[in-house]
Amino acid sequence: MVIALVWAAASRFVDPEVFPGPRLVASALYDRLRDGSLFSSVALSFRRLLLGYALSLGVGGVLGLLMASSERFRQATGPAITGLQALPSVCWLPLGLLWFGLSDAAILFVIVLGSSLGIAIAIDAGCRNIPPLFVRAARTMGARGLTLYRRVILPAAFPEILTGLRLAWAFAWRSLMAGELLFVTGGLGQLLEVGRELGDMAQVVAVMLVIVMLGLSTEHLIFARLQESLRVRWGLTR
Amino acid sequence: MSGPVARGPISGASVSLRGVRKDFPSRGGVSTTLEAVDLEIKAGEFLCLLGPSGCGKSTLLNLIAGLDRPSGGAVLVNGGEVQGPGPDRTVMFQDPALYPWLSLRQNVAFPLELQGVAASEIGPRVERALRMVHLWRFADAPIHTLSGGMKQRGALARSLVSEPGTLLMDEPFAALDAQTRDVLYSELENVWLSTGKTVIFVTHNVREAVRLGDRIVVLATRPGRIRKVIEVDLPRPRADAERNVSLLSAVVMNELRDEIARVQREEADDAWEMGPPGGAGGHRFGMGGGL
Ligand SMILES: Nc1ncnc2c1ncn2[C@@H]1O[C@H](COP(=O)(O)OP(=O)(O)OP(=O)(O)O)[C@@H](O)[C@H]1O
Ligand SMILES: [Mg+2]
Repeated sequence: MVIALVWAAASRFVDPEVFPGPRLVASALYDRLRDGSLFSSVALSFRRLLLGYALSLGVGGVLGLLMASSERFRQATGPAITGLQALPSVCWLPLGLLWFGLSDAAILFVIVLGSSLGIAIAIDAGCRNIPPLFVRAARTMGARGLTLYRRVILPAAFPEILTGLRLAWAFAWRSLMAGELLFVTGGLGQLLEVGRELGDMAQVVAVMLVIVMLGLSTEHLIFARLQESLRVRWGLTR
Repeated sequence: MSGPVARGPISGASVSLRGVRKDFPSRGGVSTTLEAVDLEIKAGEFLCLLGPSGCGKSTLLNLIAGLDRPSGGAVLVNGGEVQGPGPDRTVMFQDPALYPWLSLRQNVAFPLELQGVAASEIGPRVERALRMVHLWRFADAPIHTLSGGMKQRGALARSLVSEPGTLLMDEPFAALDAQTRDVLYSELENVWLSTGKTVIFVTHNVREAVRLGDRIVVLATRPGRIRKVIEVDLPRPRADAERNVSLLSAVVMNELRDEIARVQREEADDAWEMGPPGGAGGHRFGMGGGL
């Protein structure tokens, strides 16, 4: 609210071509809604995001479990994984485009590289940080191997893993936008790019607003709630 | 809580330790934590392992639990050598180690699920175990809402539910206040009397050992070995205030005090050799709380 007021006040003193006020942005938003381009872009971006995130969960999950359960595997891959993690995911885009062409596969490739390593690291760290007594108790009750992971180690590590999943979601979202903005057709990123090409500041800001709103709502509707219910269940609330 | 309970049929297992030795790797070499431990524990016996901190009580319990393997000798349960952990020997630790992502009921059902017990059988068995420790009313409570004493009773229920022959307990009540501990002594005693299980109970609290044990095994330190075995031939239930109980406690305490004094002397010597004048080592007690 405060932000909106400041925005409205500030826009009075600046050229609307450069810095559009809330009214112009709202009407741009309305136009994109009416011609359906906003809705189809959001749907397309979200489909890519979900697919990419699901792939990241699979890849990151397997990598993370291997790292947590095998000291040899962790030592062999650990440096490479943390090294690649330090690389901003957009840097993978040229490679993705060479391998997959201007296609959704290139975008998925970038998303997976941008978020799966974080998931793997979170799973590995989470599994290592659980109280050793949880595992000892489970072993006396007869848990071994995969059962031990499924029933004890992963549930015990889940709060920490969830933090990683949340970050990975944000990374996936960023990778997607970068990819769409730069090369790949369709989606919110491209809507943003079209706004730029037309010199339509209001549209650019409108799309940015939509991106922020989408990010915030997934944060609050999914991850914040999940984390909160977990904290209540574990008795971590004050 | 409740009055004396008639002794039920014995369902416990016998445990034999034959020349058990345990080495751990330490600074370049190996250090022997347990040496030549020979002990026959009768089926249905309540045995207390007493000793100063670091003498190897937990190590010995781990060997019986199958969490670790002896470096020499053998651990036999009902005549068969222990190969690994098993539902016939459940362990209770000082920390209840109940899983916070499960309710109390799910925690108690957990070992049965791991063993592949039929779902229709799990419910009644969990109920029986929870009733035995008077926690049935709290079956669906999240773990963090239970008090320390309730959690430890929950852990006892989880230990009992798989109907083990042997109950291994590693200072299970050490973190509780005196009143709660007293209640739990009687609960444990009643469970033991009515089920006839073998109990091996590690403690460094003399009164606790005299209050609960049929026999007390006092361990010596470095390397851990049996220093003395004391029969506790007193009627149950025993109260701290009873004359015979305090007399025997004094005897056991003396035994333990000698051992602690010996450890202290050795540690003081160590400190002397290492050089700091003022004998800082002289104040290092080889003994935790509980005395
Ligand atoms: N995994 C291990 N690796 C190396 N040394 C060990 C290991 N476990 C135990 N020890 C050593 O064995 C000795 C006995 O340890 P243990 O935990 O059995 O003592 P304890 O009698 O249970 O003591 P406390 O009363 O403090 O619990 C200690 O000196 C310890 O340093
Ligand atoms: Mg111990």
